[in-house]
Amino acid sequence: MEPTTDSISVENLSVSFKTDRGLLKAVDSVSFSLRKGSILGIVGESGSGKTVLSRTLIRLLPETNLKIEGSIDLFGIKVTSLKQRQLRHLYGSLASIIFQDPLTALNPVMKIKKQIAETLKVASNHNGSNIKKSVIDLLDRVGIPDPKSKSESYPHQLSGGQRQRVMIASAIANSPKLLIADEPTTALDVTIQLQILKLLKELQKQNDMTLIMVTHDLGVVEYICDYVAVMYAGKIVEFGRTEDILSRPLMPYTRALIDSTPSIHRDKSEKLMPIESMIPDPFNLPKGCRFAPRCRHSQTRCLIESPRPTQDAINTSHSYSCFYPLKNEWAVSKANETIATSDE
Amino acid sequence: MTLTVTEKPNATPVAKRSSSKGLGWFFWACTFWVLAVIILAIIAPLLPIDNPNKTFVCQPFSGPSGSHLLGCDDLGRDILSRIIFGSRVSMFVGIVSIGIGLIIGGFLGLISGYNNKKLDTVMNTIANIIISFPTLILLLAIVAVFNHSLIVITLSISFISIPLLFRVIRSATISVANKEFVQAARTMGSSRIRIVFVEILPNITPIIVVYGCLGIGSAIIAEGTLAFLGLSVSLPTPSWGNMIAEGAQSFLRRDFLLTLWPSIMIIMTVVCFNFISQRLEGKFNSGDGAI
Ligand SMILES: Nc1ncnc2c1ncn2[C@@H]1O[C@H](COP(=O)(O)OP(=O)(O)O)[C@@H](O)[C@H]1O
Ligand SMILES: [Mg+2]
Repeated sequence: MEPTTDSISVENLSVSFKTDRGLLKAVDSVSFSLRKGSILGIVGESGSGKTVLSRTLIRLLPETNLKIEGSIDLFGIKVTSLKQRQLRHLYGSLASIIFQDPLTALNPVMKIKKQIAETLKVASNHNGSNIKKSVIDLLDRVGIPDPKSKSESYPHQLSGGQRQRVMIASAIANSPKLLIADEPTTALDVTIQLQILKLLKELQKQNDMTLIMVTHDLGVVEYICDYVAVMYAGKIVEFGRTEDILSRPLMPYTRALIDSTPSIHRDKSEKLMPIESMIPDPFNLPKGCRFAPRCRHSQTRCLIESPRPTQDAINTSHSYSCFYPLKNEWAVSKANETIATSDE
Repeated sequence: MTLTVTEKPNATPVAKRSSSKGLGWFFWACTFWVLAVIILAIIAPLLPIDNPNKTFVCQPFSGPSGSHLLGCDDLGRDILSRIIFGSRVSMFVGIVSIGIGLIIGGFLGLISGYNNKKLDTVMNTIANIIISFPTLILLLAIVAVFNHSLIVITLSISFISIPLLFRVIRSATISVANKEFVQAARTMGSSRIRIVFVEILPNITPIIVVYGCLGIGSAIIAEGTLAFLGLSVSLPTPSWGNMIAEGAQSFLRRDFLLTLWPSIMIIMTVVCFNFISQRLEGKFNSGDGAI
């Protein structure tokens, strides 16, 4: 499968599970596009459909009792129309994924060197000694100290951070054009999280990879992402450049997320605001805007009608789904602050 | 721009190797017993013991003595020698039939467990149909249709073990196949065959060992049952089962030792296989899935 274009585009993508309780639409009419070499963050509370969306991009979910509608185009390849047995060719050099918990994502009874060698063998044109050397090189590249002896270990003999590095080495072994990272740092120690993010950023630059970063942490987004898609109850409710979204959120949900994230919400005089109540039951979604029942700005219209994605008039790369986008002082002052800091 | 992390760290501690709690002396005693029986069975013709079929090497029904440790049977044959040669039948049937059962049932279970719904449903249904027949009747039917040579008995027991082992290995495969590292292997482009044999198989070896041992015990019992019904290897070739049959059917009152010795052998060997299986299962379960 050869890539023919330089971008990823997703149109009207919906993913539903057929469950005992009925159809569960985990991702609902999502559209976005992304240029090669950029980093997209997908954020949202737990259960908002981030994992389902990101795995569907590479058709990784088991497809019994699953319904995928809409289209996914990865660098010219129509992922949605691939047959099951063609999927294998999608993986490796085109797309690959890093999972949240490296302990479960590495084979417990296989030595590190074998796990990585297995991946390298897929792309062939490697012979025995060649592979050995590539394995050590890869481990070195992802910052494993003493890669030669570490390659003889089993996953349980490594620390969490090292395991995630091994996972990353394995995922980038065949230089994928798209790398999906599903909460790659959530299971790690605070101090290790930053190192792993740095590593991902570095590798992304070196390989000119497109990186999709799934996270519930806006701090991670601020640190690494060029673009952000904010998800709520299966929909992308706001999409745009990271600076725009973080400094001038238009959708109240995004603002609420920012207000509940201490690292972003730096104004210490204001209290952190946890978002009240829970995300809606996926089987019983609100009729209008899905955030309306929790939204402090909601009005009657929000409860009846469902907002469609709208482009911001000032900044066309910024889109949001809201009838009453925020135009408050906070956003403006925040924007000024950003300008001020970038002047320094 | 600095990153402050907002999530509470919930790092998983480095999984320690389950500190070996030890398998216990009884496990090792059982292993020793099983190995001793197997080795004696293999080297039986080389041992300085009487020919098991030679009659009147001693006084019929004479009890244990220095030259005939377990005594003599109704035809004056050395019981120890018949026990040792009899173990060849039990061990051969047990190990070979379960070996074949594991190879075929295991292969089908792996393929079925990591495959599309349709093939899996078909294979599972077939297995369930075979399993739903009463084992002993099925065994008797096969032996009646063919003959009761060692090979037919071994193959018919392995035929019965195939669907059972298939089911065990299929469900183990399904549970491993749903693990994230299998998905990870897929996303790195591994083929289905490689995933089944390189990623999944090593993870279910513990289960294969556990159910293999359990199966050998059951196969030994099955052969004994056939022998008791006079449907195992023909006399005078000794097997534990037909020794019990001979002793119990004609001479139980006269000399119960003729029945006792082979019964002890079957019971001890089967108990040992079951115990080994059970201890290993406990051991594997306490670890993190790795051997
Ligand atoms: N295999 C599945 N079967 C049924 N429902 C599922 C399945 N996987 C996820 N879901 C549902 O889809 C929704 C989105 O889940 P997920 O994408 O995992 O959320 P996130 O990654 O944002 O925390 C949830 O309501 C979840 O219960
Ligand atoms: Mg998730």
